[in-house]
Amino acid sequence: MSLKATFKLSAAALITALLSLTIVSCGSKETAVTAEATAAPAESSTSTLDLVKERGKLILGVTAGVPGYSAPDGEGVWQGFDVDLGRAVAAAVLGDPDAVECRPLSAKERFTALQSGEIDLLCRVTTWTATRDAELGVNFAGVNYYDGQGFMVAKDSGIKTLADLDGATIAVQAGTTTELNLSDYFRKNGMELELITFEANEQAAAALEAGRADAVTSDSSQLYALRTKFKEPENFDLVPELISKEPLGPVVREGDDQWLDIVTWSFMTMLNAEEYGVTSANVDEMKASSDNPNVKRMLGVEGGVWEGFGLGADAGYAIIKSVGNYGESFDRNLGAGSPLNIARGYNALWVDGGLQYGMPIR
Amino acid sequence: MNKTKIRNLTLQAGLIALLLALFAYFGFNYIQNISQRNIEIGYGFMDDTAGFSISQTLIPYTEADTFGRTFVVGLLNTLLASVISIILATLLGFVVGLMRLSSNKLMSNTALFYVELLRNIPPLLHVLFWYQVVFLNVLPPFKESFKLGEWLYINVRGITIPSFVPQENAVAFHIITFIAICGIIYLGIIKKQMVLRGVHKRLWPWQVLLLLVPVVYAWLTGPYRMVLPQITKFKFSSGMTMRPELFSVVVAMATYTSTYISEIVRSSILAVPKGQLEAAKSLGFPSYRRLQLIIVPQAMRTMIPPVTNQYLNIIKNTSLGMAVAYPDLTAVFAGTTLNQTGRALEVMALVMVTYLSISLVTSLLMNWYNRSIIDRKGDLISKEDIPVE
Repeated sequence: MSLKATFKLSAAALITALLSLTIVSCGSKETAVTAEATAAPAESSTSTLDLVKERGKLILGVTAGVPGYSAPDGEGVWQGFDVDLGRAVAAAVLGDPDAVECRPLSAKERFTALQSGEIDLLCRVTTWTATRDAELGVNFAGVNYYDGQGFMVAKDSGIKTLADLDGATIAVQAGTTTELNLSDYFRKNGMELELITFEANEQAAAALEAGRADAVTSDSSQLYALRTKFKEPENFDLVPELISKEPLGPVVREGDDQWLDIVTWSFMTMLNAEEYGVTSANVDEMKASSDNPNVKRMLGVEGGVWEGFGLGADAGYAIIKSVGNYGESFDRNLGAGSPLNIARGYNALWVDGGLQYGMPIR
Repeated sequence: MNKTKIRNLTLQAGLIALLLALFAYFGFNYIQNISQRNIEIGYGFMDDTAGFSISQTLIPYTEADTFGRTFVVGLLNTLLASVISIILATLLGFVVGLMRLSSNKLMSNTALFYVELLRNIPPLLHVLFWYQVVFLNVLPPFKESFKLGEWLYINVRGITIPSFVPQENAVAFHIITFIAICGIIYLGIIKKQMVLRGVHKRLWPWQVLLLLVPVVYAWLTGPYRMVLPQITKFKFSSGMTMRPELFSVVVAMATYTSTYISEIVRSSILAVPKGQLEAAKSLGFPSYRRLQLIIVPQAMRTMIPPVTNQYLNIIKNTSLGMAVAYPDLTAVFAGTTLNQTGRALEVMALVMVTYLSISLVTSLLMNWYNRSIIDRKGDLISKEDIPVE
């Protein structure tokens, strides 16, 4: 064998080897990360509250850029619905909503980053599930957005509810639970379905826009984001029903109950403020003149609720003053005041028929 | 044994040892990872319920079927796209190849333009062009379909034609057709033998007569019933629809590969010694007979091995259909099934072996055909074409 041929052979061998490596590693990657996250020791000797106070700022884990939830604006400042919650916590703890450092994380990094103490709070469109709560050493502090698998259709198609989709052609992204949920739902209800499976959500959405499909399905928050890229977004809408539960919420490290309480009640304050009509605009007036004991306790006028969490008496006031109530944040980032134009739906307050329910502050 | 030989042997042995060690290392790692997760390696998952649906299935399939069946569905879709693409690419390639050899400048330049334009664009772009540009952006929406009478509908959801439903006497029709075809082939063989023995007798009128039997039978009894496409709310409830995904893959593969086949056809024809053509001319063969009897049979010999390569390319390239949601073996089995089961090694190994088998079988068939041509060339062409007095 000539030297040249030997080189050729070794190159071939190397490529084969690399290929096999890729194949083997593909299979085990996902679990390896999970296993790592589980194994990492919870670092909780000092309380997160003290850490944050000492540091003078809150480190918030966010997405690498999902418009409406967390994304940097034109000046590089992080904005969004999830960022607002982080700002609310910073306002409550430090009195300064801008004392937040956002750290973009991938879906795989997020739990490890929280575990290792790299971030104090994770607000990264993370679904609350039993496995995550049980195995990853984290706690969910509430649900700030009730997401779920929805269907986007053309408004002039005459499709108003899920039942109208019997026999329809539906576009979906390949290899997701979305695909399975969809088939399950149609099978369970004896409905007919033609499924076109695309590699990316954008392609699936394009199929709907072009009329190749009658509907596109994905998590509803995703669908709203995809709609903003359409040429005529006003011609498309979501059917009201969702076929899966994807409750998204803030996540903290396990083993620090005080910090969990602070995050939970910062969020509850935003919900209660909306329910009682307290907004960032009228919060000063409300603080001075409201006769509602709920509002008084929330804004620290009476009751001493906030001191119990190790915070200043005006923590609730600081949250509403700087970030606003839940409805304000929703409208600004996701709702009518944003390009996403998401309907409140399940995220309306319980008094309006939705699922958002602020626990009583007393 | 001299020094060089010893050195080469050592090198080779070392390389093989290295390779084996590498594979052993990967295999060991894989088995260790798998056993840590308490998963057994094996194809037991093939019997589990798949749970997802597939748009285009050549055999009955529902979500309640198994992962094993998704493999068959994907495989058949791959074969369907491959077979249609191969037939179209061959026809197109032949026509374009002959056009390039034409002495008519318009013809040959059109062919040149076609070849140079299409073969210099990556095949993935061909597929995406037909799907994203032609289907999704040019064709009319479903409700405003382009219509040709009641028979043909073209819209963004595909091309729909009437379907033909077999009736009770379809079996009889199939048998008659089969017998007629066997008869025609048999007469063809007889004719060849007669030519070799130097007997000249017309047999083609009998062949035509045999061909007419099933046609007349079909005309009289109607073994198939034509069902016109019916539009319902979301789709055609009857008729046959070629979905845009399949169409895009097939057209892209056929046009792209036809450029290569046309070049093979052209060069093979040019490779036939000029003396053959001149001899045929001097014997007074008209031009189409020269091509049919002298040039093409000799060119075939050179043509078939490279054309086989192109066929294999088509089979493998149909996996690009994944980019436009065509549910072939790669998309369905190595895509969704892999994702749902997480069985990367088993699924990938099976898909690789399957593509390998399809390719090997294709080469085998083409080689067999090639040999049969070479044999015939030695005997037939020389004897058949010398007029026997």
